[in-house]
Amino acid sequence: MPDKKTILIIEDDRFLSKIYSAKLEKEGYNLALAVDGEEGLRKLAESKPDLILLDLILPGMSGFEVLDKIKSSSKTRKIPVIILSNLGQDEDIQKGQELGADDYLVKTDFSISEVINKIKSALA
Amino acid sequence: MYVCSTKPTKPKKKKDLDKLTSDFVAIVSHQLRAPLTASRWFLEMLMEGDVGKFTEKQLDILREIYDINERMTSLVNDLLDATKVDGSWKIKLTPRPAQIADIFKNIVKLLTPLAKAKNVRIVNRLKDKKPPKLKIDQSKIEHAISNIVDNAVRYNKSGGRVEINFEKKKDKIIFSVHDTGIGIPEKDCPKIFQKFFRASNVIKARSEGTGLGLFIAKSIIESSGGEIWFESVEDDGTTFNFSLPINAGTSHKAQGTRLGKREQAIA
Repeated sequence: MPDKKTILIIEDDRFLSKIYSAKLEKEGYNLALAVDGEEGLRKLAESKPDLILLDLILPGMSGFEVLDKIKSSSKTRKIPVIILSNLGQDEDIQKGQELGADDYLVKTDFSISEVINKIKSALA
Repeated sequence: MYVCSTKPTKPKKKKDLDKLTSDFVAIVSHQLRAPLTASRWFLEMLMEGDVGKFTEKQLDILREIYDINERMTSLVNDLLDATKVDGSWKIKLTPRPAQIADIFKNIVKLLTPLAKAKNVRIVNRLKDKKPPKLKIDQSKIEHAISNIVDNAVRYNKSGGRVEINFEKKKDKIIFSVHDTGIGIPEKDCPKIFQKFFRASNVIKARSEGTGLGLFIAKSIIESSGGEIWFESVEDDGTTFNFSLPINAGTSHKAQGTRLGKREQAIA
């Protein structure tokens, strides 16, 4: 029986956080939750996740800064990061890709099931 | 204890006011996206049976709420695009070669439920004959075309028809969307492309709409180097036409211009 995989969710909106948690726990994943970049980076060191879900608009440190820190450290750069944001401008998507995000999903374009499937694919 | 004194706010020049309003709308619209997404996803969880089974009647109500959420999301997207014209966010176009027939096919598919509900038949001539690929910003052009075809279905009559076609000219392609609907009164002619303007016969019919669709379509098409115009007979039907240049890059001349000045260009 393979070990349960861990997902770190960095999202400040409590409703979205609740939705991700409900859906992903049902799929059998362990979850670590953070409401801002600083807490996210702390939990990243503690929990060694297999995947990170990152929102871009966060209080304090921006999602891009968090992404940069994750991908700049040799310890964490290999962890896949999926950006989930409502910032849909082309330059935001490009910036996310340049900083090393593995996928960039604009929330308004996806159903929650599609988001969950993308996460499962990334962890397969 | 400290004293907090303020100075009277200086009245801004009109141009700054418009920009401020646009920026304000952009910020608020953007913040509306988060609760709209969350409520939509909660509804999806309910409708998919994640938290138990619902009766058909209960599911019907959930679907109505879902539709309402989609309408609000469309409005927010329209507002965000509209602010890009005269606010600080410009419509940024990323042109790449694309096949417009695919765009029309997708839009017709999305509008089929509405067309069925209104008993309107959509005839898409681009299914059989395809135009050459054009260098366009696919998602923006899709938004513009969607607004035009949506109008053609929405303002149509029961038993009516929407016909989509194109004509290749030397250096451009002219697309036409014809409907057998309520038409546009002549006096509304140039104003129909203005922000928030809705034709007088539409307001009488009490149908919904934000008045932003054509404003956005026109700015996207003009930013892409094209033109938009229409022919109409009141109570009989309307044909919207728009052109897009062949193999051209984007024309930036229309970006950031006040659309008020451009209305007179429409015959």
